[in-house]
Amino acid sequence: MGGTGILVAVVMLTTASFAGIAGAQSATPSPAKETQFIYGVTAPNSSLNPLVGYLGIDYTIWSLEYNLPIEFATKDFGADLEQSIVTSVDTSSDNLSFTYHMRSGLKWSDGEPFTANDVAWTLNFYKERNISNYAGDMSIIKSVEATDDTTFVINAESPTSVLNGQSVWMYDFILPEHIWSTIEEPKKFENVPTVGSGPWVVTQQKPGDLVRMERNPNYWGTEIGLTPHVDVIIEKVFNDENQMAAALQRGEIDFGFFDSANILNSLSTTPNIETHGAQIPLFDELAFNSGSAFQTNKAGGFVPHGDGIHATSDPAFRRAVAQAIDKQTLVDKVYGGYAAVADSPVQPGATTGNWDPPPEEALSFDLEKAKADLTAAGYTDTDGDGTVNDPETGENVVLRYYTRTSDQNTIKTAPFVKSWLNEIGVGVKVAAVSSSKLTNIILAGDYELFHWGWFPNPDPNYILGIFTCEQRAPRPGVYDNNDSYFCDPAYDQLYEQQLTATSTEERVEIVHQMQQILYEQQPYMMLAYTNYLEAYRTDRFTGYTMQPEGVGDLLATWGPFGFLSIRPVTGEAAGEAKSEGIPGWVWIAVVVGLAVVIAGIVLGRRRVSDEDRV
Amino acid sequence: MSTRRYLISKVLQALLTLAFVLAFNFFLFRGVGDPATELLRGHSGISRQAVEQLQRQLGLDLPLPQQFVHYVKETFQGHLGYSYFYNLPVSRVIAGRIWPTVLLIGLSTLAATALGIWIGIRQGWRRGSKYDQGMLGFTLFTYSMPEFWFGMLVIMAFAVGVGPFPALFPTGGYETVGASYTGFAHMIDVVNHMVLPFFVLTLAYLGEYSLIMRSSLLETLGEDFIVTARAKGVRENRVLYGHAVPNALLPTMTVTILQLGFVISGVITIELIFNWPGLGLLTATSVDQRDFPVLQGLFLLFSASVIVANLVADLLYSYLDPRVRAG
Repeated sequence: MGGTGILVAVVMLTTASFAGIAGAQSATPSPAKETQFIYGVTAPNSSLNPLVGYLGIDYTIWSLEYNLPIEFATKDFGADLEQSIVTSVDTSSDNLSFTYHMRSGLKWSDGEPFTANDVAWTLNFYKERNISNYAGDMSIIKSVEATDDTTFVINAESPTSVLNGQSVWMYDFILPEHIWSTIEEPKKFENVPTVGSGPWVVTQQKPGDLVRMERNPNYWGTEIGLTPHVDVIIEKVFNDENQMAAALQRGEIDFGFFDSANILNSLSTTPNIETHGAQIPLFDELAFNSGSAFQTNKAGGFVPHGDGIHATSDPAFRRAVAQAIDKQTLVDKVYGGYAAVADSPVQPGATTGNWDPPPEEALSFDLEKAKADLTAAGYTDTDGDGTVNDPETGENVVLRYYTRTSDQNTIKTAPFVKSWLNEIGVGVKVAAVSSSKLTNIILAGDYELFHWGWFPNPDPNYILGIFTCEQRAPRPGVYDNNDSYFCDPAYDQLYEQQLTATSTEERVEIVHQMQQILYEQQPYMMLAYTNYLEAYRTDRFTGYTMQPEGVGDLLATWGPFGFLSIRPVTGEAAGEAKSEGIPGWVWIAVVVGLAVVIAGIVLGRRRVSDEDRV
Repeated sequence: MSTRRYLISKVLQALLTLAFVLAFNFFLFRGVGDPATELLRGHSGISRQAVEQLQRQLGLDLPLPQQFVHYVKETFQGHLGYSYFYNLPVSRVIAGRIWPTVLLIGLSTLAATALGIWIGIRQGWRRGSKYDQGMLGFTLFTYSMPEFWFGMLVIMAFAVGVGPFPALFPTGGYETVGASYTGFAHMIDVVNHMVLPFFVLTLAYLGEYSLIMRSSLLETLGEDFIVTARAKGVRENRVLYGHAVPNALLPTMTVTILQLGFVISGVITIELIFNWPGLGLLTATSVDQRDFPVLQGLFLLFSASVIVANLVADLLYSYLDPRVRAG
């Protein structure tokens, strides 16, 4: 076969392949025009099953499909009884029993009635199966029973205020009993198409590529004015942020969640695109090993382990070092301004009580003061080599400081921290490792400092719980959350008390005291409340509502209200899917033209060949 | 060696290689860390119990030999396991990604082969001409150019539209997100999405085929049977396409068949840049997510396709050139 023969074969094969693409689709006509909102994300969903998924983007989808007993308010993450399936809560005089009253006439997306039985079944199911996403919330719940179609009663293990309906304690998606009770292996259930009670339900998933949600025809919210203005919501996964930025510029997507401040900055100058750094519960910290090798408290079965040095187990040392960190510089230079200086793991805007140090107690950036405090605590350079020595061991204080290869911000922070610490005479050895490797290092207690972050719930219970003695890794290789090995019985006692406080005010007071202890002892040097980086097209949709109000997430992803408030900019057309690329007739002309050229060459060659034979 | 013995020995070799790959895959992916903690750290809801629960769920609490036996047994039953990350059967995760990869990489390989051979023949036939020199420079340039870099330039020029370049095509993906095209409209939609990655890949592969074809043809043109054909007065066109090209095609054919074995594994960089939802992109994201079962499934599939392509090349070569079988 000659060169042209091969070309002809390729054209035929190409045509056949495209015919295959066309043939693979059913010949049904396109559905009527619908309003679509497409948002881009930079990682795929871990699962659409609310028993097993764990990423923020999974929660975003569940928030649109399911209801919490009480929804997070858009304004401040408080309890929004006006727009929840539960309308009121009665608390017994002993603070042990809570009666929840629901709306009547609710339905699931498949038309089945949605009653208090579904709520009771779901909460009991989460408790009995010890589903990790909800285990923290369930720990204080003893039992749940439905007394009629619109009433369920929660009995608590001990007196408490967290279930009184004044805050959102139960971040627990309510599932339809008639679907989930029949599934043999619920954790392996794909949950597509979904039967839900929210304004939209998932109708299609292409794992790692997209999730399509369509309007729930039986959504109860329309009766109280929660009418969706979007028919279809699509979550599109981009594995390359530059590609997502280009898709936003072209109008292929309407909204994108980004990771890179540089890309967001470049988008901010593009016409018809707005950018936003959203303040949400999200922070980065530098964590000390506050004594894995030296502590003797046996809570949680703890056995001392690791080779972390003595200095970081000394709160005076940690406080001195904390004053050598210029957080504002890090916010500006490392996070590109898309962050705020942090002091407490309970973020401002969280429902139950952020605490900030009063100015006179603040550990502000002051290298001279840091150096003086180190000296006062006994850390002086006794051997004259430029590095301070530990007063107990006499050895040079050199910190093994780990950053993560998967997070550029941790890597960019290291040179700043290293130079500041060197200035106060503390040695630093920086190493960048994978998250998996760093987890092993932390569980072994073989470190002094590392840079990581958390994505806490709006309620402070979970994030404050990670500093309790019980949550230290008990032995090398066994996971637990207390990665700074902080252990203070007084703190643990307050943790128990906030759970059983019988009024919200009392609980807030205790939560403040806990934050104060953490600040004074500095197991975490809190660095920054990092932002969700968001960009959207202004010519497609409008009506974005921030959660919390004025500063937070534009799509208010801790509930359905953000998505419910967006609407197309100019009538229906702005929200429609638009075709991309060259029209079909141009392609037909190209293929026909190519075929004519090739045919001409083949025929011409054949004629020459015939002449040869003469 | 008889044909039958030759065939059996080749098939056995292929099966042995596959068995080795199967075992190697298992141990390879277990050397990179504990996926349970990797998956969960940093998120609310994580606890010691949650990690232990996940380890049990993933079968990671069992001793390694037991995990291995389970893995081999399941693989032979056609079960590639359960994705740690997507919480779906691996076969379901992989299945949806095969067609986009085969379509894009398969067509670019075929186009690059056809064009490359055509260019190579013309270069070899007119050795030293301006065309030969020009094409040599061009194909060496495209061959050595990093695909991802060229891909980014192409996106900037023809998708975003910079300066005089018009934004003609989508930035990436397989089809328009949210569109419900069917039939011909869907076909055109996919074509529009495929144009840019197809263009980049075809140019990137082109040089390999044209260079091999060129040197192979040059070697053949110096053979005695070509001199004989010319001495007999055979027309030049016939010398080229009747005598030289069929003999010179053998090495190119081997490369093409071997390359087709790699079609299934996709081209990670190109699929990443163009967000093409194929197996290459799945490989990249699964590495990020430490999703061992998906990676094991993918590597098995990739290895099997390369091994099968090798086998086909061996068998076809022995048919086309009996000296191979005799040797």
